[in-house]
Amino acid sequence: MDREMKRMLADIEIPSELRERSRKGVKRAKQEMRREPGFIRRRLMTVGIAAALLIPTGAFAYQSLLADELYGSFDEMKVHIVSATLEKYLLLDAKLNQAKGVLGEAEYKEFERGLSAFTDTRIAYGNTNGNVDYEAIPKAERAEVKQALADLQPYFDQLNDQPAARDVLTADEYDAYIEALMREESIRVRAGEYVEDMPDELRQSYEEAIAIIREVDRKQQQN
Amino acid sequence: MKRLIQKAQRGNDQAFLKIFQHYEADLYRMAYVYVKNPDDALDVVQEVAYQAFKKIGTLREPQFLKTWLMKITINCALDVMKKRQNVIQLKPEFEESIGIAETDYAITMTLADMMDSLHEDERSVVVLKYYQDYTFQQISDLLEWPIGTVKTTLYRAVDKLRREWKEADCYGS
Repeated sequence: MDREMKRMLADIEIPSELRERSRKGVKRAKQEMRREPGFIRRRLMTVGIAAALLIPTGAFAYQSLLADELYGSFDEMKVHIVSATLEKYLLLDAKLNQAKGVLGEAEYKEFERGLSAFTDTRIAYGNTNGNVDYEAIPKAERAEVKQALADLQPYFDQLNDQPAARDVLTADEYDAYIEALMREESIRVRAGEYVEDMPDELRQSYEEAIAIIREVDRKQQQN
Repeated sequence: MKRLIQKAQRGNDQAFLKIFQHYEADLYRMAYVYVKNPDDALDVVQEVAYQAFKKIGTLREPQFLKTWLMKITINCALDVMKKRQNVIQLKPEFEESIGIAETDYAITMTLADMMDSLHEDERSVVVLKYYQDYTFQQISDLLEWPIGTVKTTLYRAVDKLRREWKEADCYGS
């Protein structure tokens, strides 16, 4: 029976346009996802900034990029952030330019100040991807970077064109949200990027953090 | 594959497409068993690609990816069939006279005819069991039925098909 069945189903001819139709389905989903500034886009924003601890190479060293103002010398970056690429650097610069346009001069200065504190910690303690295990850094610095992140998040939200998480959450919820963002990053530093490779205990904690982040995302989209 | 799934879950459409294209022929055949024509089966696959990429972030166990895609395919195919029930069908003679039916459907007429005698639920179980080589437990998980129901449905379907085959043999020889 199963041989007959397999033969008969295998006889169903695959139309040449099948591949194109799969592509169309994915394309439509992608377009819609772009219009919904959600979890993934915000993640890209933060990861983009994290990863962008950066490498302006010689060819670009003469150009004045906004990102240069934030990230200091190329040599120091390269020592710390192995995975940084010129492409990510330029992407970050484009985002900063966009930020400058959206936020206006005064607000951008504030944003840049916060970002600067945030990235100092990454340069000092980040792994090769520029991510930090916040549980492994001195307490005073942890408190400082947490404050910087809490102050920066409204700017990220504004740049992603969605209501500020700070406005849709209570103070305690917002604190839990910032902690969840930090915990998620810390666990990735300790246990790698892939959920299924994480030890059970860390995976559970990671999934809890992700659940909090997604819930906040949902609330932002509802508002 | 694991890494591709992780990438897709982070919104990488190229990674998702690579994974999807690995399964698309199977999904197309699965859809075809229900809708029984290439145009609708292609529509189903396109819809599955759309829905699956949007929802892949919710897939917790990457090892069940294929099962998960199958489930979406079955649901989409059933939706198409429901919609089709609300549409007045062309009569077969008319289709032939405008030359659509013959070339597209000829190869699969036997299968389509035989599967016709099965209820939709029976069709799912038969295809999953004999074509996709799923275990009873996997089918039970996928369709969210008790395992006993899966077994009785399969036995009933097999019985019907055997009778069909016998008849086809009689007429064919």
